Amino acid sequence: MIDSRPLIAVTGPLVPCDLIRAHGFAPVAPTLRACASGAVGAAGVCAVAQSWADAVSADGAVFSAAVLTTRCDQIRRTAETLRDRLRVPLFVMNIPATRGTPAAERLLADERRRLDAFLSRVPPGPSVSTAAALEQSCASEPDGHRVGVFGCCLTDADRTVLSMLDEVGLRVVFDATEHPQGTRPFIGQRPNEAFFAWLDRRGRKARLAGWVLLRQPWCDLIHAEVFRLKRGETGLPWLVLETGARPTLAALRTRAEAFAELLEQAGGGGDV
Amino acid sequence: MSEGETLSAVGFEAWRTRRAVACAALGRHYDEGDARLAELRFDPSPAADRLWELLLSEEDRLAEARRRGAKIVGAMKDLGTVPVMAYALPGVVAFYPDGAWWTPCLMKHTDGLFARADELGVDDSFCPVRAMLGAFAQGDRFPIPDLLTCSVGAVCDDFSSIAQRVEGLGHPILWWEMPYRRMPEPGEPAVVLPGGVRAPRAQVELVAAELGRVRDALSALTGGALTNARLAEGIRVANRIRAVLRSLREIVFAAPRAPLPALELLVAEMLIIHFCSDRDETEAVLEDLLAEVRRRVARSAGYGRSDDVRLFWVNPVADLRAMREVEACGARLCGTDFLFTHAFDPIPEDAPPLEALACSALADPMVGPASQRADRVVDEMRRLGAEALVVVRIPGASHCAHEGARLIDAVRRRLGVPCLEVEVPSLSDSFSAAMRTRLEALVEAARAARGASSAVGSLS
Repeated sequence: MIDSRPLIAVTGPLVPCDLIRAHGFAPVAPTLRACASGAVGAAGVCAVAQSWADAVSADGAVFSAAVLTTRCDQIRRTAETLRDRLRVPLFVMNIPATRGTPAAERLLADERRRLDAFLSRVPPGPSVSTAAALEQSCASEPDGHRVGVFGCCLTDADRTVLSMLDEVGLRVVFDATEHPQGTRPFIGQRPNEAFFAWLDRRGRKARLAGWVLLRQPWCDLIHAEVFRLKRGETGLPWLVLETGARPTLAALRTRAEAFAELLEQAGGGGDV
Repeated sequence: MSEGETLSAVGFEAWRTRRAVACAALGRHYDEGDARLAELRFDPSPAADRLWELLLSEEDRLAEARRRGAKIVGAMKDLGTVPVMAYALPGVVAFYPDGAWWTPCLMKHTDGLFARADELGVDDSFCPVRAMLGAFAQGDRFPIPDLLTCSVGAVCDDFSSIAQRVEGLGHPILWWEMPYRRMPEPGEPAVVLPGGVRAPRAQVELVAAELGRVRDALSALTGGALTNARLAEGIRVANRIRAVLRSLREIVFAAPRAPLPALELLVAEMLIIHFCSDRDETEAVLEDLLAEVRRRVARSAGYGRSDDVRLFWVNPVADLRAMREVEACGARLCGTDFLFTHAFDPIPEDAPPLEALACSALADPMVGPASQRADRVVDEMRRLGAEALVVVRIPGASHCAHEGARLIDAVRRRLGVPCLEVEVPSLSDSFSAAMRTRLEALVEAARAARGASSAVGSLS
């Protein structure tokens, strides 16, 4: 389905995309070009945060506004510098890090109201045709080993890694990377047991043989949980690949091939 | 005024020899593994002795508290809020598990905390506070608290992640929401927080509600109600201690020569976060230090020379030894922001206690935009006549990757003074020569700028 509306760049979980659409905008995740020179930034700066900022502030960017969430320190602090560069309005949505408390519910409700008011003030930019987001799962039955992919937002560099995975027989049938829409648990929530339970459930539902984590350097929230992921808290084996702005595909390929062999030996489910 | 006595910090062995009785405590800590002490230099006053003893004996105090049946509260991440609440109840000791970050420095990595964190997958790409995870895993540094609280939300990713891993070791945590402090929108009810920044009233109310959950947990822990009256008294005592520290800082920063070395000032400031597990002794130690510096200023005694370059220092160092370099480079501290300047400001006493504590917590410079932190740094530098800025990068800390450049940019644009950003590892021995070179270059630049810039305040 092709949509044609003014665009609002969004990132982060818990963004009320329904509200954005109700105001006549299309929420889109901008294409993140981590390979661009600006994304190879200062030590400690996450490539996703940097490339998101570059994408929404680039000359020729067609967004009417940008909405990002306080999902992590990297994004929060990038937003502070982005405000100076952006030519369109920016909304920083305060999302709760806690879950299920009255304060978390109240914060989400307050921020939804604030976003509503913000959107009513945004002058609509040019309408742009976009393909509606596909469901984050593959309908067909592929050859190879069925895997899920997890990580933050996918950059162009990450997508080269995904292509490589496909080449070695790791078929990504479920994309659990960050997507603005929805209310699913995210790894930065405290406590984050619900996130692990969600990964486990979705992994079983998608009949995965294993998971692939595309980890950004300097992403502490995900890095700290690799130990738990690999220890089997989701019930499946994990391949952890550090990508960043310039992934070393040859080295990552070797590891991906080894993972495919491991799944083969384990009788990894999903083979047709 | 002519310069009086020039004070000198003494090395550990000299101190141990000269001050056998008073130094027995420090000697004991060294013998028990705090090997870093041998490479520090100490202010040779009884007040400083007491300060170091308070800091280094905290684990003993916590163990004794556990033995006598006191309730132990580990207040993680929030810098100066939950301990104020906890100490308002009798029979409660609060401490700051994050403080384990200095253990690897003091024990020169013989403690094994970093290695344990490595085994758990939290490597050196994280801030040295990962030692806290090692401490919880090993279980031999401090008693496991009866209640663990942790603020989360607008906190650094390192700490949030590490605290989550602590919970994963089987230590339940009461997580409380700290929203990212934003500017009030036009027409939105707002509150002026301690320190002068503004926040939406809705955020103050949210944090107050969260602190209400903390209060309920503290009450349930002890079986005693943490009433508004008790909270108000806790706030009053905390404010009394904060006032002593504010006075100490002002005298140290304004004196013609530094009456207290940078290292002791760092340690003294750190006490205010959680009172080092002994609120009464913290107050006594700070009062002693204040009396000592007053005496020194009265007789014109101090460290270094009156023309030492006045440095403003941002962020604490992971290696205490690094603070020695300040005086060694011909400089002195004239202002600090060790990540918790909000813990110096008085907590409002004219508001309901939970709302007052919420205002104090929301005023945390790390909870809001770096630009507001920069504003306070610039204002303080101007007020105190700072001639140069040092911003310390804490290895692996997520906020440092972004903040340093922003702070330096603001200071350069608005004050035109030389700035330095330097990363200090938890053991800086191999780096000390390079650090000294860089500090000396900063000091030289500041000296060269003297007389050329009218933007710097008066030195006298």
